[in-house]
Amino acid sequence: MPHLNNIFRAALRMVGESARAEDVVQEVYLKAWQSFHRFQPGTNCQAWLFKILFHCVNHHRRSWLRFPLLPESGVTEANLAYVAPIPERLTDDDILDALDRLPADFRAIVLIVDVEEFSYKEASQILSIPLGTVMSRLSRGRKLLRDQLGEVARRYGIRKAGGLS
Amino acid sequence: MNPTLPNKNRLKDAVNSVPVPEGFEDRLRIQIQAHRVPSGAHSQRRWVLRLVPVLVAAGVLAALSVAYQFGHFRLTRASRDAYIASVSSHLGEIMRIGLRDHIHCAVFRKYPKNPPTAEEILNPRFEKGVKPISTQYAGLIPIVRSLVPETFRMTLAHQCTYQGREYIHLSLRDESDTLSLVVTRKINGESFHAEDILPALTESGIPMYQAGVQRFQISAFETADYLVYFISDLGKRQNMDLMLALAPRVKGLLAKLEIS
Repeated sequence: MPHLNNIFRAALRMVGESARAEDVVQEVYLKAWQSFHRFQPGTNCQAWLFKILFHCVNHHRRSWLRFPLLPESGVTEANLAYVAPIPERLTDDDILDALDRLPADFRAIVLIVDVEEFSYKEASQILSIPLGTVMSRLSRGRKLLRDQLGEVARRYGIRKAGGLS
Repeated sequence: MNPTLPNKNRLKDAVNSVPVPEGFEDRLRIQIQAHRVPSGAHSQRRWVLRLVPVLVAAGVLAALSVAYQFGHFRLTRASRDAYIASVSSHLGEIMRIGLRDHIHCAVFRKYPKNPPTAEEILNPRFEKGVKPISTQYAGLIPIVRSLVPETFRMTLAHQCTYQGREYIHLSLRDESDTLSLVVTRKINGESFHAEDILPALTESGIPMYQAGVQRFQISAFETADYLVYFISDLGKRQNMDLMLALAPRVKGLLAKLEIS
């Protein structure tokens, strides 16, 4: 099953629960199976699967309370004014918790570009958004994540700064 | 967490630290097998998609075929005659006489954009190879013009021959319908009465006969020497109403010719 682990982990980050992520992943591979004749050999299979994944996620997100649609503006602007320091001694759970707190659109772009390391162009195709939106959303997503991590650090009393490159 | 890793890698490691549930891949395979599209379904779907243009073409051909059966796209003389024979075969012999000429002249005829004037219609040189209506029958023109609704414009008034029989033929058209008054001399004692056809009604002492086939409605009556038909694409009732209006004056004009 190609790229299953990456797809599952991204689904989990997007939907929040393992059981729900399994459902989404099942839907992704079913859709991929049924529409495999549309896949063009030689193109990026992982990007194709991620495109299906985010299509499935977007299809379900409105019906999931865990996954409300957040307006892009407002959520971010207030937070962007303060660039929080990022400590190095954070656990995986702290980082995942901070990532999960991001609004879905920002979480998606951070996952695609920073975790899965797709190019901006591929991210644009996966999420069906313009390249400019990819870049602005990624910038905001990173800053929000840094802010969230800074919150965690303050709770721990950690002051040493770091940050996502 | 390894504090020496760059921060982007820390994020990546954190995300990848979550294990995929044990046996998930096996469960997924089973679930996909359960939902699996039957073998060949994709190619079947592709075949169905390829069939769409074939089905559309078949539909168009069927429509053209039906249209052909109803007299459209008859480009050759032979195919037109075949259509006339085919349609006429549904009628009694005496009703066929008028319908044949109507279809031959008024249906298959190509009409000019602007209908001819009365003078043009009566001009022998107006239409090559066509004999204009003779003066003895010219009185039919004002009768028809005065009784047929003004929306119909006269497109022809001539004397013609079809399959060896002579006709006096006046035809009118509006945007959608064509109608004809067809008059022909009786040959060998032809008569509605003699063919035991019952009149649909009798108006002003004139027995009126009626028949219909495909889109054509035929109303007819006879005089001592003539068979008179009114044929149109109008409804049965409307066709008969127009014939009822025309019949007394047409009969009067033909009666004068019979006496002389």
